[in-house]
This record gives sequence, structure tokens and C-alpha cells, in this order.
Amino acid sequence: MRGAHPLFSAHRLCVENEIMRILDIEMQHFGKFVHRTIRFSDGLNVIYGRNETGKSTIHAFIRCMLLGMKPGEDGTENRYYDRYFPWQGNGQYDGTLRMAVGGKTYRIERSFLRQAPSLTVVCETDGVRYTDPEEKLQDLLDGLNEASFDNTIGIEQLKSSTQPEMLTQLERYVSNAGRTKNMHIDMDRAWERLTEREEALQKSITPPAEADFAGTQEALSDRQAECAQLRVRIYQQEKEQESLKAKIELTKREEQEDQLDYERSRDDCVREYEAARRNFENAPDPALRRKNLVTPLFVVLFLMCAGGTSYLYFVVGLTSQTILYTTAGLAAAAVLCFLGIIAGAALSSRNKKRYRAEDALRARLEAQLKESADRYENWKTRQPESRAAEIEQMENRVKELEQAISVDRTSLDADEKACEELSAALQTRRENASANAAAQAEIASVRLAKETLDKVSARVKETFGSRLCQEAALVLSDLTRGRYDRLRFEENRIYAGTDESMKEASQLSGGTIEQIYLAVRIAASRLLWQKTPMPFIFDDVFARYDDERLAAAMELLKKAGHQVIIFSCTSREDSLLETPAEKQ
Amino acid sequence: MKLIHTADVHLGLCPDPGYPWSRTRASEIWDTFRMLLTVCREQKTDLLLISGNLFDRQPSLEDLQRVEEILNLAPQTEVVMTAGSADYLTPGCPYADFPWPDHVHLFRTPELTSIYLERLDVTVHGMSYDAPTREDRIFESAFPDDEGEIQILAGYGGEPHQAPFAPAQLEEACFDYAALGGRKTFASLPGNLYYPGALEPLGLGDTGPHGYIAGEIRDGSGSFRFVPFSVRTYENLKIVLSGDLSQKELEEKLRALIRRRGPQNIYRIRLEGRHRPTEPIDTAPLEVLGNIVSVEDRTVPDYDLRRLADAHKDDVVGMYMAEFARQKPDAESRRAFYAGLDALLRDGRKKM
Repeated sequence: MRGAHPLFSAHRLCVENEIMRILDIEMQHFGKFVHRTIRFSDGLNVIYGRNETGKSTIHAFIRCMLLGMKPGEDGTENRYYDRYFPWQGNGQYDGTLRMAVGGKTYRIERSFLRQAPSLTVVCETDGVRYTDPEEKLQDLLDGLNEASFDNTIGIEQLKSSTQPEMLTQLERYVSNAGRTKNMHIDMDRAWERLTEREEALQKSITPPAEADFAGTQEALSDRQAECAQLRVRIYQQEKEQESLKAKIELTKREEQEDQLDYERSRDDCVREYEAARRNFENAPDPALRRKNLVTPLFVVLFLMCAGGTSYLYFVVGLTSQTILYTTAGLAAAAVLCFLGIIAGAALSSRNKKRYRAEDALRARLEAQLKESADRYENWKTRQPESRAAEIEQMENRVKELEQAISVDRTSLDADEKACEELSAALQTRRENASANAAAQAEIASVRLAKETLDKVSARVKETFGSRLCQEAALVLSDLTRGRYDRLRFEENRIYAGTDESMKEASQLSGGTIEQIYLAVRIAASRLLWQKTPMPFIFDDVFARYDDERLAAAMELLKKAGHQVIIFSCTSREDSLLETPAEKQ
Repeated sequence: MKLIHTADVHLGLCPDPGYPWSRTRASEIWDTFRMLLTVCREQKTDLLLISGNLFDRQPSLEDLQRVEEILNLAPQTEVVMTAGSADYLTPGCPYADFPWPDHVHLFRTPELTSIYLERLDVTVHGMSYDAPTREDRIFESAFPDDEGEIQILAGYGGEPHQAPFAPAQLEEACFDYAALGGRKTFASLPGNLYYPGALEPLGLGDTGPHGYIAGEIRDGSGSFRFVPFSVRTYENLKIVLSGDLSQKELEEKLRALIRRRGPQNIYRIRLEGRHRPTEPIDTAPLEVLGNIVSVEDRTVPDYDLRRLADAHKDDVVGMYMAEFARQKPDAESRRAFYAGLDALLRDGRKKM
């Protein structure tokens, strides 16, 4: 197809007012430039000069003015900073860029000095200086970043010169370009973040072994039952101990009392014996009894007297007074003796009685003495049995119980502590279980998000990829003057050709591949920057183009609605323009 | 006759081990029981029924002496107790052995027996547990007798593995009052069957009011009511954030809310609604504003979804959002939606 491109002209109609155009730049102190101004026109601009004349400096300037010079994301210093540090800066490193966006003119002023970077954004149309220049610039440039600049606006030729490597680069570009329509949004990073989150959640999940709930519950119940048993046992043992202690006290007291009784009765015995002995000794001593000699004397005397009297009376007869008197006297004497005998007999019988009584008493006392002696002997044999053995047995048992109680108490302490720990563990497990459940739910959500993202992005890739090829085909057709008007990207391979025949790109020449690349780049830019179409900046792209291709390209670009800035080593491009270009 | 009914006191329990209020709660359980006896004394309650689990585990001699001292605070109140699944009686255990004072009566057997209180003309039928569980349906064989004017049933049970029964059967038995135990919160069943619930809440998740049942039985009819009595309650609070609440404002709001609902209570907080997209909520400073178990953040970033959809109608973000519009709006897809959106917008955007 030759002629006007529906793509470009349609776009031209509706975006004329809205394209972003660079109006001019002033490189105040940048690289080798000092206060160098370059003005750009709305359409095609060609800046040509031999190598080392500063074309890449200008390209870099534009890039840095639009995007700034931030250090790289991996911490490396911005690669432009040192490279374009002004030769004659007087300590300054700055510039100005004026552009038109959405019908208004904006001025960007930057200082790139690391120690004092600054950015000013002014709307010259409205006379407004923005308090948040970064944000405003982002807004104006529709979120342009380094990646999208390099991928869309700044177009360089294919780096390699060999056809296979060019093809690889081309294929990679087409593959990546289709991944997100809006290159502001880095799918990789979003995907990574979600994966990070998923992994962190996964890590936070307590492994099932630790989350075992039922096992801990059972262990706790068992322990509690053990504790209960121990408590009862200790209680019983303490009860036994107390009763034993009381019994020991009682037994000791009984023993003491028995001992006292024993000694008391001993004392009684002794006292009795002493008393009996004293009595016995105080009893009249039979040895002291006098023999009764009086009565026999009187008997003799009586007999004598009586005999005498009787002799005298009977034999002699009472012949004389003397004999009378003697007889009377003897008779009297005999009577007296007789009285004396009687008295003596009475006395003697009284004595006998007395002596009998005394003997009886004596016998009794002797018996008593013997008795108390016996009792004493008896007492000696009745010593109370020592209850020491009984007491010792009980005391041993108390000690045993003490031991047992102490052991049980230690066990109980340990068990109670274990119960506490199990209880706390149960609590933790309960909480872990619910935390796990929450984490699992989160993970499910994150996975769903990733899945959806994937699905969507694949779809985008498909549709964008095919749209890209469609649009690129239109551009390619113009570039090749109709030789190739169909483009397909399938399974990482590019096919170009016409309706009738499609060739795999590996069969195409390097020059054609370059054209395809250009077409794809241009188509990508158009698709991605629909809201604010950006300028194209071609950096030595057409060096390898032959004249015919170059002419086709220039024609295409002239008709494009975008501002185009071409840096070139030759003046070939220029000669194909109607308006004179800047010459370095 | 005035009665008070409590159960599931769990003296000796240390709730929520590991949390800062754990030990305080343990002594609060004892204190509240003591206060209950003070109420009995001051209100001249005739009968105090404790239907099981007075203790959290088999009591020691010290525990029993402590309770005896508390029960002696109201010597004019007859106290009838049963042992439940936690403080069950085993042969030779101190609980069964203990020489309670005259006004305290303990059911000592697992079979149903009755205690006649002459002064009140009340017969209480009941039983105690001898093991942590019992499967027999003992309550279904409980019937009033003709000794006391007022017939009361007391005991722990009604749950699976804990003396289950069919409520209708117990209702038919027509006790003047059935003082049951074994449920954590107050419940009443037809036929004057009552569970007072735990006197003090026993741990996380025991939300709602806790207390005892006070009642009066006069001339054959009774009226009973629940009396909230616990020192603290556990509550679940939900705060719905509008999208422009800052972290400081949220902290202030929570502080005020806790002040209003009671700073002594124990809270579980859930945040819902929206937060500022660039300022996710930090829950750590919220967790120290009171007795807080946890703060769950269920807020989503406050994106103006319509504007976003518009701005991104041609790109991945727009397509992603559209994809979710097609799915059903359950919690998981909502979370997924915001997770992906966040990742794309915040983490994916490389700033200049």
C-alpha cells in the first residue's frame, strides 16, 4: 500500500494539539557546551555532524532534562553524571528545556550538581511556577521513565551489525513491548512483590507439628488427672501423718504416766516397808521379858508357910503362944503368900495375855513386814514395758510418710508447672491455628492476584502484540514502499511478507530487519503514547540505510504527526528535507 | 425464699496465661466470689446454690479453708454445693473429707440424693461428679419428693459427655427451680431450668456479660433474673475507618472508645473500612492503648476505583480491575484485588 497512512493521518487529525513538542533547549553547562541554544521545529529536525561533535551529548541532555539524573536503582551512580560533567562549568552543571504540552508552554530548569540538584517547572502560558515540580513533570510527561524513554522515544539503531543478533534484539523488543501496554508499570516488580509477600506469609505459617492441638489437649487432661491423684494422695498421707503424730504423743504420755505410776508405787512400797519395819522394831522385845520368878517364890514361901503352919498346927499343935503366934504368922504369911501367888498368877496371866497379844502383834508385824518385803520384790518384777519400739515404729512411719509427701509434692509441683506450660502452649497453638488460617487465606488471595495478573498480562500481550504487529505492518509497508505489508510475531519468531507469501525474518536481509525494527519502534510509540504523543529522537539510525530506504523513511516521518529529531553523521537526511537543518 | 445461683466459678484458674492481666484475673475470680457472699449477707439471701466447678481443679486443703472462710461471711445463708467436671470428688480427696460448717452442704455421691433444709422447708436434689465426664443421663431420673415445700434440683451437666438430658423431660419433672451448671454464659430453658454462666469470664472469647442468677420463690411461683456481676468483660470492637483517618486520629479514636466502653475490659479490635493508600495502618501502637488481645487490620487502601479504572482503561491496571469486576465479590477475591492493585500501582510504578 502506498500513500497516506490511515494510522498517521487519523492520529494527526485528533492529536495535533496534544502532541508533546520540544521547543528549544539551552545547554548552559553540559559536557562541552556552554550556553548553547538549539531551537526545534514542530516536524522533522535533523542535527548532523561528524562523530565527536556532540550529538550524543545533545541526546543525553534532552534525556536528562526530561528525566533527571538520579542514581541507578541498584545503587550505581547515574552513568551520565561523570560523562557529561562540564568541561568549563565554573562549578555549574545546568540547563533549560522548553516544551509544549497540551497546548501550553512549559519551561524546565535543572541543575545537575550532586551537591545541589534542583528542578524548576514553570508554565509560561499561565505564568505558574509549580511547588511540586517533580510531580508536575511526571504528570506532563505521562509518567515517562528511563525504560520507556529508551524503549520508545530514543531510537537507536540496532546495536549489533550481524543479522542474527539484530534479529534477536528485534525479537526481544517485540516480545517485551507487548507485555504491558503502559510501560510505566513494571509488571516484573509487581509480580516480584506479590511473590515476596507470598513467601513471607508462607514462612509465617507454623508447621503442622507445632500446631497440633488435640495432642496437647490430651496431654493436659492427663497431667491434670495426675495432679488430682497426687493431691489426694498427699492429703491422705498428711492425714495419716497427723494421726500418727498424735498417737505418738499419746503413747509417749502414756509411757511417762506408766513410769510415774511405777515409781509412785515403788515409793509406796518402800514407805510401807519402812513403816512396817519401824513398827516391828518398836514392838516390845520378847527378849526383854522378865521371867516371873516372884510367883514361884511365893509358891515356895507359901508352901513353906503353909507347910510350916500345917506342921505347927497339926504336928506340934498350938501349944504355946509363940507357936501360936508363929503359926498365925506363918498362916498369915501363908495367906499372904497365897494372895501373892494369886496376885502373881493374875499378874502372870495378865502378862501372859499381854505377851500373847504382843506375840500376836509381833507375828502380825512380822507378817506385814514380810508382806511389804514381798510387795517390794513383786514391784521390782512389775516394771512397765518400754514402748520405745512402738514409738520408734510410728516415728519411722512418720519419716517415711514425710519422705513420700516430699517426693509427691515435688512431683506435684512439676506436674502443675507442666500443666501451666501445656495450658499456655494450648493457648499459643490456638492462636497459631487461627493465625495460620488467616495467613493461608492471605496466601490464597495473593495467589489469586498473581493468577489474575498473569491472565490479564497474557491477554494484553496477545492483543497488544497483535495490534503492534498490525500497526507496525502499516509503517513497514510505507517504509518498504509496499514490499512488506504484513507482519506476524509467533512463538518468538517474526514473519514478514505480503498476503501471498510470508518469510521468516531470518531469511531477510539486515537492511530489511532494520526497517522492521524501525516500524515496530514507531508503532510501539504510537500505541503507548496515545494520550500525549512523544517526539521521536533518532540517534544515527539511518546510517546503514541505502538511499532508497532512506528516502522512504524520510517521507514517512515527514507525514508523521510527531515531532521528529534526527541525529545523523551525514547530511543525507538533510538533503531530503525541504527545510534546512541545524548543522553542527 | 430468696435464692442466688452460681456455677463455673473456677477458683484457682489463671486465665489467659501469657497476657499481662493473667494474674490479676486469677485473684479477681476469688474476689468476686467473696463479694458474692457479701451480697448474700447484705441481702439476707436464704439459699446459695453452687452447681459445680466452684474450683478449677480438685481443691487443696488451703483452697477449702479459704472457701470456708468466705462462706462464713454469710452464716445465715444455707449453701448447697455440687462438684462438677473440673473439681470432681475422688475417694479420699480433701473436698469430700472437709468438715464444712453447719450451713454448708455438699453432695458427696454421684447418685442423686436429697438434702432437706428444715429452716427453709426446701429440699435440694443433686449429685456430684466422681470423674471428669459422665455419660449417664442422671438428670432424667430426678423427681421432686414430698418432703420440702420447695423442690430444687442442682447439678452440673446438660452437655454431651456431661450428664446430658432431654430438656423436655426435666421440664416435666416440675421442679420449682433447676440450678444447673456447665455453660459459660447465662441460659434459661423452659421449666425453670437455668444456667448462670461463669461468674467471671474465664478467658479469651468469653464475651458478653457474666454474673449470677438471683431469684425468689414464693407461694409456689418463682421469678428469676440475671445479675451482671463481673469485674471485667471481654468485648469485640469493630472500628470502621473512613479513608482519610490518619494514624494519630485512629489512635485517639480507639483510646476514646475504650474509655467509653470501660478501660478495665479486655478487647479484641478489628479495623474495617479504608485507609489512606500510601499510609497503611500500624497496629503496634494500637495494641498498648488498653487491655487488648489483638488488633486485626482488615482495611483496604482508599483508592478512588472509578478514577483509577478510567485512568487505566487501556492498560494492564484497567484490565486487571475489569477482570475482578467479573468475579464474585467474596472476601478472598476482594483481598486479592487490592493485593494485586497495590502491587501494580505502588510497587510497579517507577518514579522519576
